[in-house]
Amino acid sequence: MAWRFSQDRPVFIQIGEQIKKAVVSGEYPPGAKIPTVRQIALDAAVNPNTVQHAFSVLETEGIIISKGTLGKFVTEDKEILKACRNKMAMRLTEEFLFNIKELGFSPDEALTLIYTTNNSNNTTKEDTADE
Amino acid sequence: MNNFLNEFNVLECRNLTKSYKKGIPVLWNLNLDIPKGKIIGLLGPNGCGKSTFIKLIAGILQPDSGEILLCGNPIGEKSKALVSYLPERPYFNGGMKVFELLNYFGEFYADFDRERANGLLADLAIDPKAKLKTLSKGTKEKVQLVLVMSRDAKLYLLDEPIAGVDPVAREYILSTIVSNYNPEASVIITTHLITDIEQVLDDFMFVSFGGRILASGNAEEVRNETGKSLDQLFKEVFRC
Amino acid sequence: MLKKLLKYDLRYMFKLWWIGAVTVIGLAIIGGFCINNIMHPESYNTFFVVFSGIFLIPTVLGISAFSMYPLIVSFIRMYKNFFSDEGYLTFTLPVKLTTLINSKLISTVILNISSYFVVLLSIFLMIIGASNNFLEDIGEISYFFKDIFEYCGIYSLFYIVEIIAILILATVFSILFTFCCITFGCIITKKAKVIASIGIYYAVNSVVSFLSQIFITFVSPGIVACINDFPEGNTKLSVLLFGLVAITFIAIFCGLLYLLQYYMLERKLNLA
Repeated sequence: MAWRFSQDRPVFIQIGEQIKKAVVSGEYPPGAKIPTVRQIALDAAVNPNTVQHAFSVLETEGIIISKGTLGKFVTEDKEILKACRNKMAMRLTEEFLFNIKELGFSPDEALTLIYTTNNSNNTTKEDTADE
Repeated sequence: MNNFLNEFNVLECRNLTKSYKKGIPVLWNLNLDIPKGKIIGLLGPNGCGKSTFIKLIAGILQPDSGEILLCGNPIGEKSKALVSYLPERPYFNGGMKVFELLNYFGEFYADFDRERANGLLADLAIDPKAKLKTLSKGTKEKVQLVLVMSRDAKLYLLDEPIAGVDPVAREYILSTIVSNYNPEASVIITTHLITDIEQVLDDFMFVSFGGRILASGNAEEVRNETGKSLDQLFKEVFRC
Repeated sequence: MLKKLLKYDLRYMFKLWWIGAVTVIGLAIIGGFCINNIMHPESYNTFFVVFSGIFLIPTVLGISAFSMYPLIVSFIRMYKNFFSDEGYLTFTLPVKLTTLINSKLISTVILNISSYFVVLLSIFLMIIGASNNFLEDIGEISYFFKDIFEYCGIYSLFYIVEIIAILILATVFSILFTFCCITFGCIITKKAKVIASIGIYYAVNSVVSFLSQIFITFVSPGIVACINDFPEGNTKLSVLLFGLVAITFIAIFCGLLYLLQYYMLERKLNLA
């Protein structure tokens, strides 16, 4: 995983977000083993206590479960994963809406924009696929 | 005066005072406790007394007054066995070869892990048979870092470990510090390059001239409460 | 820990010593023959004699230079190991301060005594080389010593012990004196440490020499009179006692210098 942090927000929150993204996107599928605190700390060049803090929060939220000496694993509870995915999606959407409204778009216009952009993206992909 | 010995503290300082010239104190009545298992940043402008404080703990400077206890031991033979000090500049005899320096460390420090040192040197592609004076400045600093981090000390003192080092080496140094982490030991890092080191720190201290502590706390908490990075905070605090 | 420190100190000090020792001994052997040529020229070949004379110059210079080796090398070693950047390593080692001082002291004493032996050996070799009737000359010298031993009787043993003790203590004294000068010079200055150390060494040395001269001039007649006052049979005893007094004094001064050295390092060490 490529870790990237901005320094003005608590790092443990950012680690949590990036792990959740990996879980939701399938990089860490349900039941998969997550790297240890030490491994992540090393990879990301971050204080191990910070990583531990992130893990504690994720455990409280139920995204990951600790199996003692075996390590930490992604939950297999589909409900929790779905809720997490939805929550993340909602936050992205809120952010998008906020920004697009600042440009003067109404929600309907925004929806149209989404479809047109998506279609043109697909067309470009098909063109390149044909070639 | 061992009454304030706290077994969770790696370092305790009471009323530490040090002047170089009469009347100009570099450190003035410093009181400080450092618990174990922490990576702490001493952040401040050049010449504010950070290095002096580190040298007092290492035992190469004598305080004018005050007391320092390391895991309950005053500065002396026992405390030096518990402290691993990385100074700003190379401190070895240039005529030695790298492996001879490793031998030297192994002989005097019971907690020196030869295997670990060899591994780190191999990672950095440093030839153990090379003579120390033939190495570049950056490589010399890496060798010193390897030696210091290959010890199982209770307190690591890193004085400006990443200044004057290229960005790749900087990353390596930071990851070595992280991988060396041990809940029984603590690390004190002094630097004025805060952005690079922020995310490795547990706690921090902004030190101003005279050794005055302008601000201190937990790095993550501060980010949470103020929404600023330590670097930004530092600039604000020291602007006045 | 002391053994480990000694190992490194001795290794450093003796690195080049062997080359010097072998060179000096070689020069002495040849020098002996040169003197021989000058004293008993065989073929009255002027060129040969002149050449021998010229070759004696490097021989003498070599031996003098070598006798300076212990002072210079121990000076450099202490300066580098204690007061240069290396000091950061030396003074953070988990060893007692006394151990650090003792290691320097013992290694320097060993260096000095080894060099004495080499110098004595080379002078002896020069004498052998210079004399044509070696066995006769040795015979004469041994008769001379035999006479002395017979005169002194049992006291000879004590005298030998005293002389050795005085030589060792005098060496220790001058070494500790050098160390204190280096330490003092390095403590009081930040930039010109070496010059300050050397300067203090020569300054104090001169003062001490001057004072000793005065002391000897005024006090020695008194001592001689004292010894002469002793009844005839007890002259030897009085010399023995005087020797013991001298040893005690030197030992006390050595102790004082050691304490001074310790104090300076413990309280006043302020590595930049």
